[in-house]
Amino acid sequence: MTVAVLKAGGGARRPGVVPVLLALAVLAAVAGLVGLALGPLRIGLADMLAAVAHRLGLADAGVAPQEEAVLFAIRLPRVLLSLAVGAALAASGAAMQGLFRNPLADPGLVGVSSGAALAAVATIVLGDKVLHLLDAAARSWALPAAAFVGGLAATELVRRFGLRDGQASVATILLAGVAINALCAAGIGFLTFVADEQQLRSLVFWTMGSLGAATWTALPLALPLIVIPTILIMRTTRALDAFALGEREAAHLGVDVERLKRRLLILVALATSASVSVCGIIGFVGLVVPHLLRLACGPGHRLVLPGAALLGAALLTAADLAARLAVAPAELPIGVVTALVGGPFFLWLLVRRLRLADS
Amino acid sequence: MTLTADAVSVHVGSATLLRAVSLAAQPGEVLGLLGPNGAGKSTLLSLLAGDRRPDSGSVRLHGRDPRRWPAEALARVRAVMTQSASVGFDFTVREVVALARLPHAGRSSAAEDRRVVAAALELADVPHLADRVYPSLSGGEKQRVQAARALAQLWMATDDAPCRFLMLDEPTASLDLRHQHGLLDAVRRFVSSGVGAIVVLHDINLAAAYCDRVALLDRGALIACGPTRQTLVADRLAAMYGVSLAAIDDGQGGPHFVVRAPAAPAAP
Repeated sequence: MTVAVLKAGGGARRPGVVPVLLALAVLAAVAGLVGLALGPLRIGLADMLAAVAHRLGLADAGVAPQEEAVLFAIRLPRVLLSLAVGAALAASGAAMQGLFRNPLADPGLVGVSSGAALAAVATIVLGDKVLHLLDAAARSWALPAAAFVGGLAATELVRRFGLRDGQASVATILLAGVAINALCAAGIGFLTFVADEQQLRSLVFWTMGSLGAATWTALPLALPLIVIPTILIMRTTRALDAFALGEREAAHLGVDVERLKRRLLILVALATSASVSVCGIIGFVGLVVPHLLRLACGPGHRLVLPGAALLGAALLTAADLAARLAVAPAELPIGVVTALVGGPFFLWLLVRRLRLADS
Repeated sequence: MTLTADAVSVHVGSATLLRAVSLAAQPGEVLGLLGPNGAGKSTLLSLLAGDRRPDSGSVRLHGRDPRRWPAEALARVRAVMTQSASVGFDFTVREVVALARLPHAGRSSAAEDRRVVAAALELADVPHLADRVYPSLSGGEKQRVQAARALAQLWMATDDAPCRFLMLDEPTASLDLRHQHGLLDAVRRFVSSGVGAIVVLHDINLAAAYCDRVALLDRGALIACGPTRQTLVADRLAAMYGVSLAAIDDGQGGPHFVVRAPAAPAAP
């Protein structure tokens, strides 16, 4: 993928939508395959195919049962989850940036991440009082369920504050998001203060994110909740393009602006809450990935939304691989990896932008 | 008459923005809206565009309240150029103008859309900017691109299209002299294809040169509406704007208005 050179005020050539999306799909597939192959136990492509053939009953056992178990029980769910969460976070970020007409917006802006975090931390710290009433299976669902509901509730609260005469004011939503984020941070701070050693450890790890929770028991519920809203976000491309002209101008082009805002906030809250509830907080994917696409391919949402989803899937899978391999056999929190790579990259973008504006 | 406002009033808090204004716009003519700042011109335009509902009175487009039109169908028969010229993200000029074709999706082919966009760029005198990144343009260039977008939105390939309305809110505000005339001339030519234009203007000489009819608004009330020549009268304009003003013959049979600077106050 070549980065189109945009001279300040210069012309812009746009690459075709289909070739770029195809290339990104291949990239995501390759990242997925590498994610399946690498780890303490290396599994070659031939072994992978043999294992799949065996599973499907097309061939006799061709690989060691241990390899097959690692592939299907551990790596496959993890790679599927990283692909889905990466796609969801990046597409949600792109949608939020379009909605707020601001390239610095991210899903966390409307309170979804901090709402989920508050609920998760509350479950970790205060849950003991209630959770012993549940059986072990139900207990493992308590935290993701609480985080999911917390994320949705915070977003809905922010949206309600932004409503006036049935119309959502984007600026008010932004400010209400700031306030709700601050409140959630205060709640998390208080809970951290009263937490004991063990709780402190789990809540710190949760807020740094991990894809380690990927199991076949969690995926059947989590994947659809993450993937379906992400796919539905793709249907807002044309309306988001019009939105770049301004809300009133989009309405003049026949876009039902109120419906678009409601739809996007709900879809983003669903996709992000579901992602955060299984993986904890993973920053920077929603911010940096859409940016990268706009820089390379222009701001048209027909490319940016699906492109961000594919690139996000590829990058988060690569980041998870780095998190697994960097300090093996231990594991880095993935939020640390994405921030470590995303932070400097974002600074580079800012500097580059300033330099372009000057020239 | 296909676009009418009937005794429309708008109140915000205790302020009255419009007071029982009645007006009709017709296809094939340019209707100018003139008046001092805060007279209610933009408010009236937003009522006609269907952006907001009047507190009393009614607006009818082809016999129906524009607020009750399906949004996409409305977007095919009325385009609005607002005073806002900002575009989020680095869309090119061609991409910005192509957004005008959104309400025509499924009714107009990609090739036809490209032709319309090219023609609109041409008519607004911005074809040379087509591949430039919009945020890098000057204020005047942006305004011409927004005008091209409004034109492209109403462009029809067929002649049996219903009567359409082009609404422009101070389209010449940041244009140089040549482009002020170029843009209004383009609007005139566009109007001859069966479109009605409603244009908010501050320059009475531009209004005198390009409008078929003008409506004068002052403090929310319509004080005159009629054929340009009869309505733009020096005394009336002087009273409305609160300036000293005289009409001279422009040499082509039309009036030309000259504003005199207020006399310097006597030294204390």
